[in-house]
Amino acid sequence: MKKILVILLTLTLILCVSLSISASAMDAAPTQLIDEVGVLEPDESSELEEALYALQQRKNGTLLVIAFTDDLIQESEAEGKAFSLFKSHTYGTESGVIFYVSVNARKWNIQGIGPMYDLLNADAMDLLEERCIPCLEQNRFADAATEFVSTLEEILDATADGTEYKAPLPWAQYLIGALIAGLIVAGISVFVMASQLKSVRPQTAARNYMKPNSLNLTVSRDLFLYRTVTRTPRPKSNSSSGGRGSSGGGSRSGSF
Amino acid sequence: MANPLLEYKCPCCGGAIAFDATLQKLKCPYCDTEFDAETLKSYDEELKSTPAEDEMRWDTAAGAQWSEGEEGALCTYVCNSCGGQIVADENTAATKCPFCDNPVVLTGRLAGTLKPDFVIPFKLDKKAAKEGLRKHLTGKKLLPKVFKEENHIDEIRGVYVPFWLFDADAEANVRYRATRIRTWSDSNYNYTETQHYSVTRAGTVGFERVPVDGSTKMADDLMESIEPFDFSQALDFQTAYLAGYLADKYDVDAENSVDRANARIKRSTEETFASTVRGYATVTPQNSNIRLNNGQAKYALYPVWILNTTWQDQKYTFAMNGQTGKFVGNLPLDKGALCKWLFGLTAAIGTGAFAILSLIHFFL
Repeated sequence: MKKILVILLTLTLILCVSLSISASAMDAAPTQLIDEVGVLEPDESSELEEALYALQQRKNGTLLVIAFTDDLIQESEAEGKAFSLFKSHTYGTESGVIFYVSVNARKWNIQGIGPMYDLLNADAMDLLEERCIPCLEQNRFADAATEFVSTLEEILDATADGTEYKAPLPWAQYLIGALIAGLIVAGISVFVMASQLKSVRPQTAARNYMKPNSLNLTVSRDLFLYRTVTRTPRPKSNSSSGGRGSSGGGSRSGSF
Repeated sequence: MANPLLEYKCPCCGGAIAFDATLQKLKCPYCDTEFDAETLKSYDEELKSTPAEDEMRWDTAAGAQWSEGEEGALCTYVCNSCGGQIVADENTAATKCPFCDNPVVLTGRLAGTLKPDFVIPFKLDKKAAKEGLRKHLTGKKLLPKVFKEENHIDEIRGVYVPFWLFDADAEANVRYRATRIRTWSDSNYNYTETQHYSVTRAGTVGFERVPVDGSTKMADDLMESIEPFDFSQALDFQTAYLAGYLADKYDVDAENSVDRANARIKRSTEETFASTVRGYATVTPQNSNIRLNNGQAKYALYPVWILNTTWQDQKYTFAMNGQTGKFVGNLPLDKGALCKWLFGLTAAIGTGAFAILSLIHFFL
């Protein structure tokens, strides 16, 4: 009987330990903010972590990861590096967005993972790039991260009903452009109208008084002198100008 | 001062007759009898041979009325029909009696070396000139609306304007620098090859009857604006064609008019030779040498309707080619209408452009 009791206690202990291990494994939260370089102050880090976690809670577990690394990479490597970083720090989570910044190489990548890849279309990427990258260019990494969180929240809000993200109409730019175009066309039209009022113009030529078929060419000589060749480098289509990224959706990389 | 004064009297009723642009004949406005210009030519000669007793009286009257400086510029004549005094300046060759409205021709102004070689008779009458003005004022959106309503035609004058007609063969030798451009690319560079050429063109081109206004009374740009005249309809000069119209003799001689003709001929010669240089990306004239050979000048009278109108105390002069009907004349600008059109069109086009941009934004 005593032997049976010892066996039961042992099994119970093994069961408790295994459950405990399993529970701790289940509760391991993915890392959402990675700062290998130390570009963030402690209070900035904590604020960002709170913001990332809060957004994840509000958006049905959509996982956002921000990573500042010291990787020495090429721009073409940023996308793969970001993807593997997301996977390794989120324990295989299938859906999320990563904002990857290689501080040393001054490269960046924003990438949607899983369903988020389609959600981050070109318009969404344009908006993220427009707001975040200028901060990176000025080495304001915390601001870049904050902009990323707030902008992504805006994008997620706009696509909550399943519609594709559409950049808001740039009213002011369109209005100014349309008015300038209108002014140019109107100016040309009014100039034509005003020119109708002026019909007195001196004649500068005498073409009307040329004798028909009177042109007699006695010398018609075309003498080749020399040639010059200039060459200019072709613009590389795959290089991003001014550190900006490529224009597609889903994933975008660039330099800053 | 003994300028013979010529009136064409109707052989039927003795009334003063005038050239009718529609009929292309002389017509008596009193008995409607029509005459050919050739018929009246002999009548003209008869009139010329008639002793002019009036000449003695002209000298006396003029000496009493005008100062020495003015005497040379103004002349008085006595109308053969009513006896009224006609005052004209030294260049007037045809006019009307201010008292009886009879047309008169001052043949002394058109005699000897002053006699024109050619005349293009009026083809269009005063009615056509008024219609020309009406059309000229139509469809001008920036013309003040009140201009059409308030302006009135002060006078319409059919004037034979003296023109010098220059004939010349232009001999030109022109050198150009020209380039041909070829472009190609490889994987790393864009290449541009520029081939440089020296292009020479030489030869001759003929010009005939290039007109230059020979009257200082007529603005040169106004007269050039109603060109061209169809010289194929020109006739040997006869004073009969002047009856009923005004006419001036030239007061700028051919020697002083030739520079204007040279400039126009030079320009057209350069353009003509440049048009023979083809197949190049750029053509830049380097040197041109133009000589005129066989230069000749003829003297002709061309028909012009002159209309003067006044609006807001400002005088506007219009001219119509009395042969082709080409009508010119600068008009006033309504600045208020200009602003309305400018801002109205800007708003309308801007709104349309904004709508299109918005649609493109939402649907693409």
